[in-house]
Amino acid sequence: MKLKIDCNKAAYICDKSQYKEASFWEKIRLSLHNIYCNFCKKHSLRNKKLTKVLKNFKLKSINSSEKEAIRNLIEKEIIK
Amino acid sequence: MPNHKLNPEVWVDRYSDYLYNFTIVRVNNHEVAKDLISETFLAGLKSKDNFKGEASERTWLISILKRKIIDYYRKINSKKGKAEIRMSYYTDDYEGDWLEERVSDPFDKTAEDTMENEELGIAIFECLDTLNEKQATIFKMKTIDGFDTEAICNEFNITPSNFWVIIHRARKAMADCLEENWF
Repeated sequence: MKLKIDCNKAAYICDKSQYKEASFWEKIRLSLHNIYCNFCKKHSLRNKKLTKVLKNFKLKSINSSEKEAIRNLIEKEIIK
Repeated sequence: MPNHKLNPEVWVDRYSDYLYNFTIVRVNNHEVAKDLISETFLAGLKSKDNFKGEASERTWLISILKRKIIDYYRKINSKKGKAEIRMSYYTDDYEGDWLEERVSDPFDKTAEDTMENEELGIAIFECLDTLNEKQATIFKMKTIDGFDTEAICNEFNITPSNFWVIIHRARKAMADCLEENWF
């Protein structure tokens, strides 16, 4: 297994880790990369900030079956 | 001035999440919020001839929704005595223990927090609007609804690496946009 990764790979792992889907080794490789790559370090920080903002706001949504119900309601009204 | 047109067929897909977040902070009840949104859409359909095309569709729907929310509060307060401030005790045991009730709730949100939160919500949705439709849908599914990567890939018939590229672009656009408008 290669320990060194390029920036594309680093960005990919960084995105994955925002959704807690990066593996342990991937996270280690990302942190190693971030030690010498300033650009990716900044990107990682920004990405984390975005996650935090979205999480703090607690965006909610209606689930799809409820959306479907509303959609049917509207369609009925259009036909009328 | 651009002349906006109404497309009721796509209302639910485009605006229901936005309207829901707008409503839920005001009425704090999922069922009520849902009903208010359907009522808003129906009212919008009924009076779509009155739409002059000066405002965007979303602004127009929000203005209807605001009226619906006001109506809702009027209705629940219309019964006599309901509009008065009532003192109540959590349980009978607490009756008379007034000092305890005066302690401020550390988890209570201040008006400032609520306002800030509301503005942030508007910023987030404005930024979501700048993404293209596919990016926005996938990003919302993943980030807000918390779907599995695999489920989304199957639904849109894309490979996981394809999926992560879309997420990456969406996240980048969101970060750029929010940085400009919010941070």
